Amino acid sequence: MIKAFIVVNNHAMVRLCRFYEQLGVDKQTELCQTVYKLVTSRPDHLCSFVDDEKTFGPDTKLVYRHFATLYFCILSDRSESELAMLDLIQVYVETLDKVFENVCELDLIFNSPKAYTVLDETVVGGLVLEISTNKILNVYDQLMKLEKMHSSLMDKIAIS
Amino acid sequence: MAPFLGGMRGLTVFVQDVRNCANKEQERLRVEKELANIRRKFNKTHRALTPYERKKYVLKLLYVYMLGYNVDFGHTEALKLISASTYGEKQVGYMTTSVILNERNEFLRMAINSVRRDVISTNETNQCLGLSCIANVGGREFADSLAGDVETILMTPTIRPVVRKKAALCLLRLFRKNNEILIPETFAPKMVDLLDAERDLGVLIGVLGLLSGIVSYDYKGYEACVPKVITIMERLTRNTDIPPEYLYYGIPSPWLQVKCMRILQYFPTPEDPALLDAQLTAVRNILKTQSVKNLNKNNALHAILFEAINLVTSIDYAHELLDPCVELLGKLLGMGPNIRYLALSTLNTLAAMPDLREAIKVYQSEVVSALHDADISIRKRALTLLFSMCDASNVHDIVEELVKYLVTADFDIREELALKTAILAERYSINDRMWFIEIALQMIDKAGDFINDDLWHRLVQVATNNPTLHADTAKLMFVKLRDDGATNELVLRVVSYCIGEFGYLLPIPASQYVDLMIPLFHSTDEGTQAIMLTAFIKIAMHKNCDQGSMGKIVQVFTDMSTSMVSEIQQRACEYLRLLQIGPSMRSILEPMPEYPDQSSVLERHVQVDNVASDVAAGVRKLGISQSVREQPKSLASSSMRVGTDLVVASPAQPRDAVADLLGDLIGETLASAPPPALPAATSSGVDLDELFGAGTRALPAAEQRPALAAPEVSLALAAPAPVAGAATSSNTLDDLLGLDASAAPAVTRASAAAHGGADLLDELGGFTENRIALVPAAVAPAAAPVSNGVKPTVNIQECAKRFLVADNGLLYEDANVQIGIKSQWQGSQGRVMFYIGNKMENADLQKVSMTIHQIDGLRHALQPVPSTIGAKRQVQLMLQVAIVSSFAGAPRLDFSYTCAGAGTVSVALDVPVRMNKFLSPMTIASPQEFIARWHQMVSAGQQQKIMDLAPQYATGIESVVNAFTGMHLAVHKGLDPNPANLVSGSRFVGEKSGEVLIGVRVESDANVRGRYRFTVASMDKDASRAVMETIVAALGANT
Repeated sequence: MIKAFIVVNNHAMVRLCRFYEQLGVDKQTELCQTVYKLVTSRPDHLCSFVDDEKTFGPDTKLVYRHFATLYFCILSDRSESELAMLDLIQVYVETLDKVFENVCELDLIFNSPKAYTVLDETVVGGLVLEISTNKILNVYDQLMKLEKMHSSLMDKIAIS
Repeated sequence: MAPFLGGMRGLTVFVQDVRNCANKEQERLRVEKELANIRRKFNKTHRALTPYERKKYVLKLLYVYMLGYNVDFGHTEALKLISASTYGEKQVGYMTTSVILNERNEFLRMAINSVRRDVISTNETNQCLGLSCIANVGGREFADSLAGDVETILMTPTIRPVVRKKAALCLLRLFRKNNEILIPETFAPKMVDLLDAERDLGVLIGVLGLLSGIVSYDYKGYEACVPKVITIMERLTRNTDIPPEYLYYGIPSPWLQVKCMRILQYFPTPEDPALLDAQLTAVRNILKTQSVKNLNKNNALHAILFEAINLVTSIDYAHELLDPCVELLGKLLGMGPNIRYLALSTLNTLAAMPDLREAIKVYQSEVVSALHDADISIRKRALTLLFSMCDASNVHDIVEELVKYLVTADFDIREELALKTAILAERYSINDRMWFIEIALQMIDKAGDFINDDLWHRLVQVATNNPTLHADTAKLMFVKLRDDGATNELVLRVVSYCIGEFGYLLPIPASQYVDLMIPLFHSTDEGTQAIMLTAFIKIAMHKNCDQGSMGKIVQVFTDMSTSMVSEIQQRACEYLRLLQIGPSMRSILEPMPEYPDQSSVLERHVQVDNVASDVAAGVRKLGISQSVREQPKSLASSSMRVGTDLVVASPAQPRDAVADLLGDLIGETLASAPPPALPAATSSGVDLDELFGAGTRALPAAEQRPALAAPEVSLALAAPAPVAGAATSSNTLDDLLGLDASAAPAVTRASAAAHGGADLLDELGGFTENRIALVPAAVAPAAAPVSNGVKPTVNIQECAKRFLVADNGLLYEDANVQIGIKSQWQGSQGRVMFYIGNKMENADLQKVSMTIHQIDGLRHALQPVPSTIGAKRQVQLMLQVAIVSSFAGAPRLDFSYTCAGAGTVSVALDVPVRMNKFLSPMTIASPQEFIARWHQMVSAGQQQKIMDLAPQYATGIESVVNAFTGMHLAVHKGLDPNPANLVSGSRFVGEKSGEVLIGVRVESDANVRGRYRFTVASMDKDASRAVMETIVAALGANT
């Protein structure tokens, strides 16, 4: 089971995080910072896994991938395959890339609801819901249509 | 702007504002302003919020929460959005709820009804929103009231897949909250139907996720699912009927394949041969995988491959596949870091199977080279694997590699490494215990600063229990002592102990090792000194001890009988007395008897780890022999009692130490018993209690607890029973009693008088000529301010510079005199102890004078200086200092003396008392608080300097941290997110100035190694100037 999905930039700013375990705000912030420190201290040519019992406890591993200014990190328990987690990150990033047409950090800042929507169509409650980029995009497009419809409706109300 | 923010100009402006904030403090102000605004809006009673406004403010709250601020209001507004009618509002409501609220939150319960309304509605968008929310944050209440509805959705084929797959994962969440909602008898058949009939791979992902969650809890009742899962596997591996959107880089849903194999591992091996065969065929096909160029495709292929190997290890009848798996993993060791890491982990699992050891050993050299990988993750894996694959045949090679590796290993794993290596050496050296002893000594030598006493205790235990090794051990220790000296405290402990025990077996006179040990004695810590004292008495009491050595040992005992450390003093006094009594006491100093328990204290360290990690790894069916991992039945602590006793744990436990000492003498431990009533029955009839002044009171106590007199006591004492008779022995006892009762206090009084009540300085004997002689003596510069041709033999500037980062050391030395300093600092006060030694053999130092100049901001008082210091004598003078307010530089000391041959010599020195010595760490409640303080201080007065550091500090921030610690500048880790920088916050309380805070920032220049920018800030400008001055003097390259 995935315990947390965290996207953090080179400067320790958390751009997106979703915890699938019950944790207090302080703990979440602390965990994000720990993850940040771990991943930024590792040059890119090292492996994408950190297995640090002292930091995370015995049943947690960290799988991450570095894209441009962002680190995409997954904390999961041992029942998940590390490489499958890397695939998952890849699928998520590919989907974001299609949604935002060349995704960059600014997209996550100004459109974080969109990024969350995509994540929620990919991972639910710590388990993978959908792994096909196209399927995720289909659902996403439908949701966007709904959203647009309602906001244009709202605009009209506001104007009138 | 995007639809989400479309029209929400306020939100966009807020996000931009926050992003434009120059620092955290500005950001905090902006956020607080916004929170106040939102709170006001939510509280407004005269006008209800429009849905648009509510959505906007809740989104702002979400953003603020994401920035790391606590959002403790607005929860009801988020819940109101859930029950709104439009998608846009619902979406924001659900999103905020699942991010900000958690299952323990009271507010979430209020939402159950609205969520349920959405889940059972006919609007599938709303259904999805509700299901996702439950799957993310739903608690037990949700399980109780919604499980039935969710299950119905999953089982209804007419509902669209997009909803059903969410229902599957939602159901798993509810199952985890309450296992009773799914009963195997009724749910397993439904599950089988789902696996059988479901064609949509998206729903299958959800269903398999649900199944894996259920069977990881308990597989019983779900066995009928196995054939169905295997069928899905086959469908995937044959790539039949897979829609193109599920081809990931051309591979049919790697995700599903991995999931299927994971699920199969939770079940026992199928009994039906056809099923087993199908499973094996699928696995065999996967094992043929070849690597490809494309990174992502390669990842996916290997994800499947590794899972297939995991599956093989869990199938009972797949032995013929195991060797090919090992071979495959061996090849993968040469691939990219990710694959290498996983290959090492998987090999480690396989190494638990004894049959595979040989096959795995083929790759030993690859594993060893992975030990030197640039990546710590891989190094750790390699290390674990090396431990698992080690056995009697390769233990020598592996241990040799590990010893080599220890020197370069990361600090935080050295202790574990040293212990594990020693364990391997011990476990596989049944026939060659001497080799273990050699390896253990090497490990102690190389890792002595990182490990505790366990390892050398074990060495002693093994040596003691193998009488044939006594002579070799003694020789090994002697050679170590002679050739390398004591490289660290633990080495000195083990060497001293072993020489004390077995030294008499060496074919050399005792003087050879006694002469090596005595100089080391004075420069070591009390724990080691205590052990050395016991070693000395054992050496001295042996009949082969020569008169010269005896004299030196007596001298040590005599010196130490005035030690301020009660443990040392007591040992010295008692041993001295034992020597005076003579050979009749020899029997109590016989070598230690064998230890009764053979189990190793070391094994305990690793067993716990193994069990924990294996359980966690979910390796349920591996045929690991549990006996290897079982906890030792008897705790090893008992076996190590005597060894432990020899070490004085800390000076803070003098009473225990007294008890331990008796334990030493008679070979038995009674550490918990109060000293005056130590029950020690002896076969010789000598009541040792009386030695310690217990008198007759102790006799009944001894009778009451005869069981405590363990067999070792008689072993140690029995041999040549002192038959001196009642008269002699009572004489002896009286003597000892007298010593104990009156001599010790007298000694204490004497030393107290001599040292002028230097109670704060815990050890006075530690700093003697030997210690000083250890400091490398640099050649003095010609310009040293010394008169009359007597030149200092040390570089005074160098000495002064060293004191910038150290509290103790050598201040000055010339041909006649040596001045050493130890200092202690507490709050606004400090004590500086001068040790002034006359080095001359037969001439006094006369007209000794020391004058310390006043400086503003510092109050000081020096003990009266004796005008004459006799030949080879040392005096100690205490200087008490207190800080009044900030001050720069250090007070000057004019030191002069007269002696025959040199006339009058006078020198000017700096007393190593600088303002930074009075600093203590500043308490920092939160980074925000520190940043606020820092800005305040910077605006009041800051010093900034970009500086190239001296070579010894230019190696990295760690060395700067060490230097800062030496300067009493408290470093606060983690305040600066960049690990190459550091932040320090310290304070002192001056008698006049009150509390003064001083912050220091050190930022590294990424382009120039060893170049840093130092910023010192304080409300007190003089303080920041003084600290900067010290930093520049201590760390700078050209000062």
